[in-house]
Amino acid sequence: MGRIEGLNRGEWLELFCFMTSSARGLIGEPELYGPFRITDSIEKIIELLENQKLIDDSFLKAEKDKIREKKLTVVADRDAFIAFLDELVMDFTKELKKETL
Amino acid sequence: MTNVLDIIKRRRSIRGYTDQQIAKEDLELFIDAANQAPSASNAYPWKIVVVQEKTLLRKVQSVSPGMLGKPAAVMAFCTDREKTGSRGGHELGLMDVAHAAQNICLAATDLGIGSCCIKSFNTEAVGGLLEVGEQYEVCYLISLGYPSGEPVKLNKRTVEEAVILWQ
Repeated sequence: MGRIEGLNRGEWLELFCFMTSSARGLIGEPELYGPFRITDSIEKIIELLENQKLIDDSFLKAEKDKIREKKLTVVADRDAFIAFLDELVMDFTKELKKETL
Repeated sequence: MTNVLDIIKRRRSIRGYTDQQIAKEDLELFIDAANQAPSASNAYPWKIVVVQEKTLLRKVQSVSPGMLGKPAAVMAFCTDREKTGSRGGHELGLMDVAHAAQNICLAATDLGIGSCCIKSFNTEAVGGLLEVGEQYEVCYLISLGYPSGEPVKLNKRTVEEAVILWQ
């Protein structure tokens, strides 16, 4: 029950608890908390995939580190936080452009 | 003796912590500091749940999106429904909790321990995990731990910005 083919079920449940409680909590929270929680979720997903040895991806690791470094601008500098979101979008878009899908 | 204004100005919301545990005596000192806070009608309509056990901490954190980093301990303020049931009692209870929480944060700052007050959490989910029962409602969390790194740089507003009228 606790582990499915190498995946730690409890750690995924932690993530889903974070995402569902974020979704519920965001009703009534400041507008910028929405994008903040989504970027926080991306960081947590990448970290979880790394911890469970499911990925070894230098691009995703760099994005995780960038999120960790810049996400808290949300409480200090609205413009810097929005610029960080723009940067993230373009980072992921450029990476996606290389993919054949 | 450290000047209280110095501690007030040093207190910051800390969202990154080392692995170092907080001594039980320090946590008791924080609760004693909370008990010194004012309370309307001397009612103290709140109690505290202290969480240090790692698995429970992780579970509480997973339903508390506003809790960042890996704190060594969490103090969960719970209002006592039996004491806040009267007219205006809930608001007064929350004010009392805020006074008490600030005392904890200041006492922690004085000991070099970081703190962060958190309202972004799911009350029912945290209450269920902590099994506080129907009498209590979890209303405020404080994450605690020895700081790692620097807090976010913020410009605190000036005296003039805080005042509407001074006659």
